[in-house]
Amino acid sequence: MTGGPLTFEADGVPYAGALRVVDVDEDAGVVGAHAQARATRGWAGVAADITTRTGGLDADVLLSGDATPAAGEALLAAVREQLGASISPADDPVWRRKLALRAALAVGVGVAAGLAGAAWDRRRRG
Amino acid sequence: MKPAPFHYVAPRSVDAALAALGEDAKALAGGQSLVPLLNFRLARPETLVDLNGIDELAYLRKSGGTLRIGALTRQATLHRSSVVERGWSLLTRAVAQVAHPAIRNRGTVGGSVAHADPAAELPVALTALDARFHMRSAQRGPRTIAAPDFFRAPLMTALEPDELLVEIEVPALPDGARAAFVEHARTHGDFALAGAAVVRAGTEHAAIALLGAGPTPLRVPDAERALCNGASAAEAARIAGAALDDDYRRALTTELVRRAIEEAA
Repeated sequence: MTGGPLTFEADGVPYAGALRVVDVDEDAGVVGAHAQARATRGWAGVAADITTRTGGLDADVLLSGDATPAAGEALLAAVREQLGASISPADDPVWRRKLALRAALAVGVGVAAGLAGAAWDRRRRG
Repeated sequence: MKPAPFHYVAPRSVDAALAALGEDAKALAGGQSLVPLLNFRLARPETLVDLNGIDELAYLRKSGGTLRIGALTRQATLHRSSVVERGWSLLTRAVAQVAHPAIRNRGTVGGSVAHADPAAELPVALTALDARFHMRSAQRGPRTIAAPDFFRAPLMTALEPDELLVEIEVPALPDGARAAFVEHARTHGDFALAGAAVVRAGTEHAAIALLGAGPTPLRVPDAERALCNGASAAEAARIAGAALDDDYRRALTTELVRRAIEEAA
């Protein structure tokens, strides 16, 4: 995913812009992105430098012209919607490693319990 | 002026681009160098292969401590990246001095490397960072070349006509490494007359690459060794500058190297 167009409305004014993925830190499970949009009527713009982790999003929002904080919130909502559609926890290597560890642990516990049960059964049968 | 007539192809994948490349074809990335050459008719390719639709070549990825830069990554993206700034600040500093924002918005990292202008910032920074260049060809498959073997002469690289630069791999720097990129241009944003990229990590690691000091980015191992052995910034800079014949360029380069070493201390 490299990004895509963004459209949203804030304070009754339609905005249009784009989201761009800047970088991916696979070691830390972090995606950096930049989003910006301008009002299609009047003089207003909003931009954000965004850092996303699994289940979280931090952003530095910059407003210009007549843009209000509502435009910043609407921009981030549009970003969340687009990223939510394209980034799932399964894309996060840290999440995948944790899942693999938990699965291995569950299998190990299951096998150990099975072996212990079979040994107990053999002793019970004499 | 307008370019001479050419066939235009816009592939959507690397494989399709490789199929279109050949002896009389040129790859178009950001177009900040190639388009002026076409307009002046200094380049007259039969076919122009526009890479801008190949999204798979536009990425910045840190994986296993190594930075991987897709050849079509815009210079502005490199400049904006916090991953690059944290781990390879030399690239952030170097790309900040590439022309102006409008040019960096279109210009690509791979384009600057493949164009191999001896006065360009990114090839010098990548040489100081011991980068490796990954290339692919439809006939010969993939190959990887380190910076000193990649840049052959002014505007000439190891790339064959049917080959495409696909990725630039930059290894992790030693812990505590600091970097500086200093250049001098008569006008801000113009091609620099001289410059220096320096990476230092205590007395264990030093890399100095010079801009405009020769036909290709130039590493100065004698000055690097001197720096590791405890030489002062001025002494190491004097050794680095000794590689140049021209008095003015030698004086300018020596001073720029000294400033870069002190900035990276």
